[in-house]
Amino acid sequence: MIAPVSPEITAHAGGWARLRSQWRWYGPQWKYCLAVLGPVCLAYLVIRIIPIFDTAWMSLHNWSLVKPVKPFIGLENYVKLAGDPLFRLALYNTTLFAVVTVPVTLALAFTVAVLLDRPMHGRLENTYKFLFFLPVVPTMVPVSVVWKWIYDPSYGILNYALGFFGVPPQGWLINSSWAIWAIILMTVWKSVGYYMVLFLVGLKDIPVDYYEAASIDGATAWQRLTQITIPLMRPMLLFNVVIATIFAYNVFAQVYVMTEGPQGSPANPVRVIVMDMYENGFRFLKMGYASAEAMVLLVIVFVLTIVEFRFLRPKV
Amino acid sequence: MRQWRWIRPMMALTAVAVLLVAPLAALAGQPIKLTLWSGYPEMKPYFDAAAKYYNELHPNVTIEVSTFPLRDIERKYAVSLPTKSGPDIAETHLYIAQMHIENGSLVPNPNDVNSFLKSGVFHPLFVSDSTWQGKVYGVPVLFSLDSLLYNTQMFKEAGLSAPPKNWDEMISMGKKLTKYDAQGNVTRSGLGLRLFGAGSGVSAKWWYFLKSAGGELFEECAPGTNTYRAGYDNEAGRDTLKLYIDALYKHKIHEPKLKQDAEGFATQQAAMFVRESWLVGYMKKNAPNVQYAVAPLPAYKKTNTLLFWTNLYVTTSSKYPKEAWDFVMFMANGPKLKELEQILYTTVGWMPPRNDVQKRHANIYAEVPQYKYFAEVPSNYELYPYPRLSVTDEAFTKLAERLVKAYQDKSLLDNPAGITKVIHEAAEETNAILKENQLYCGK
Repeated sequence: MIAPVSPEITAHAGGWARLRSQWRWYGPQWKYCLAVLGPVCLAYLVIRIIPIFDTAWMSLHNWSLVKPVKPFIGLENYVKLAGDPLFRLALYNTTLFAVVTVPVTLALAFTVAVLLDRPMHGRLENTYKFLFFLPVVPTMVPVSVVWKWIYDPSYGILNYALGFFGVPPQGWLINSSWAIWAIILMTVWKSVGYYMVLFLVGLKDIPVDYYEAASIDGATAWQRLTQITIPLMRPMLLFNVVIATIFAYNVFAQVYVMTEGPQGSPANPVRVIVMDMYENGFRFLKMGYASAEAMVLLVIVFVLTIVEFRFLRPKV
Repeated sequence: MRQWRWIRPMMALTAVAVLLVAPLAALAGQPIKLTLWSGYPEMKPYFDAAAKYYNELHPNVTIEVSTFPLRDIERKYAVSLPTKSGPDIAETHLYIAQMHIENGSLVPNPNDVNSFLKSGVFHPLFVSDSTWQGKVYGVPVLFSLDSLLYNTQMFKEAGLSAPPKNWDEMISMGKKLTKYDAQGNVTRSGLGLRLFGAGSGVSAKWWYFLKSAGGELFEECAPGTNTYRAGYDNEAGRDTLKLYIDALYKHKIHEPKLKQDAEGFATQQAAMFVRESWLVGYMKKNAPNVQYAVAPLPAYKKTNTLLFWTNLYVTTSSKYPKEAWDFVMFMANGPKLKELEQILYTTVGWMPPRNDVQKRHANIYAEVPQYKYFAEVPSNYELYPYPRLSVTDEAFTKLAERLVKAYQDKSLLDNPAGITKVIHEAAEETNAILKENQLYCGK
């Protein structure tokens, strides 16, 4: 005799059946998604996520790069960081760098993009775009080497040019007060073209009809910019602000190159977090301590990104 | 028929011999690749030639030589040696090697190598300072004394006939050698000083003068205790900082905006500066027309100079340590010794480290007079080695940043209290580094 099936079991079985039928229905799409995204997610997990957890784990140890014994010390590295004047200096310099480079770069990039986003004669538009984008093409290291020469007190072209206006030669990189500003200037010059292109993409997406309608209604150029362009560019602005902030807090290559060698800048006036991290990790071999710095940097960038999303998210 | 009785034993013996010898013969002929890393790119011609000569004698052994800038190789050793993925042979200075010795990444010298090292062909300091816990590590490959380089043409123009022998002469001659423009700005340094750049370079150069003043970076609290404290929170430290501040702001014999170090000397923006013998190779390549000579380091309270050298180490990463040691000894005492030393003299600039080098290169000081004071120490000079503690680089690097800041602080001129404060705070930082590494003994 077959036992009667309870209504709960029947309902449960029906749920499974529905799920199975849905799975069958979505099967090919799921499989496609898995096939396409799976390797990417796996690579992301291995290259990004696992190292973050590894770094967090290392930060809880007295992890020397060369010593075989790496004792667990809990939060001691973080406590040391809080009292480390070099880390505080690095944090201050990095924040100063970000606070100046992000708005200045984006304001310049946006201005250039708006100016270029209008009809021009012949190939002038492309020529300008090319010229502004040119500094983006070479990587940061060769650009930094070139700028180190530009800033050179004896043979630098900057001092040579300023000499025509009666300005005496300056030690742009060796002067503690100016060194960080010299690096900021170079970074802004290098980055404007990149964000300009992104802004141009956003500007092209704004329908021309809106501007035409506004013109018919008698809107001035300023009103068109503030009432149409900027509100519609918020998604692109948000993207650029987030990316620029992340890049700014991760600044390293230009600082490293410009402090390298006898003609380089002193390190402390331009000490940034990644440089401090690099020095502790790869020079003093204190990888646990450097990992704690990396975790702090991660938290800072994460919090800033959330704040930026909160304030710049398009209001629908 | 009697002779046939020997056939079986003979065949058995032959078979045994073949079984024993064949693997060894195969091993002797099998291709072996050794790797050698150096942190001194200018040494590449030397190592390449040594590899070539060695390969001619041992066709189955090839040596791959890689050179990297000094700072890069420190990191490469740090990540590769503990994981046994480093080179077979590592060339480096003892202050970098020390941490790898302590962590067992470098192999102690075999007995035959030690016998050779202690046979009197090297300065005793090479051996004594390469000894840790009773074992000797490494074989010297290059050396130089730190000496004063001076531009003879500029000396002649200034009416100076001999280099300075002490700090007072160094300053007074520096004043005569310095050139100023109409506004009083220095256009040529009388004495080139290292004032900038990240890393340990600034303080390492300051330390030469500190040693002349009788100071130390670390002073051992008591012999053999292996505990230390900063050795410059004293008159020597204060005098050395004062030397720099006075040179910049009182005597005005150096200008930060001019090129520093080797570049400053090669471009004739500095009349004097202190460095090692590799400058000879550098000048030959970059400034062949500059006339210069070399003199012992000007003395102050002590008459001394740095004996700088690097060693070749066989690492625990090596799968062929026997062959690696053989190659190291080939460079130190092989049939091509003279040819290899000649490459150091003519191409590289670093000094061959053996005492008996004059026997093979009797005319070298006639050919390149600059080498004399990089290699021969005057009898009244005391030699000292580079600090070998594993925290040396961190202590030097952090001290350097404080010095850089002090050099830019004009208020330190005629300000003994200010100088004392700078020196004391820097020494406290050095002590903190020692304390963190359980090397501090207290005040």
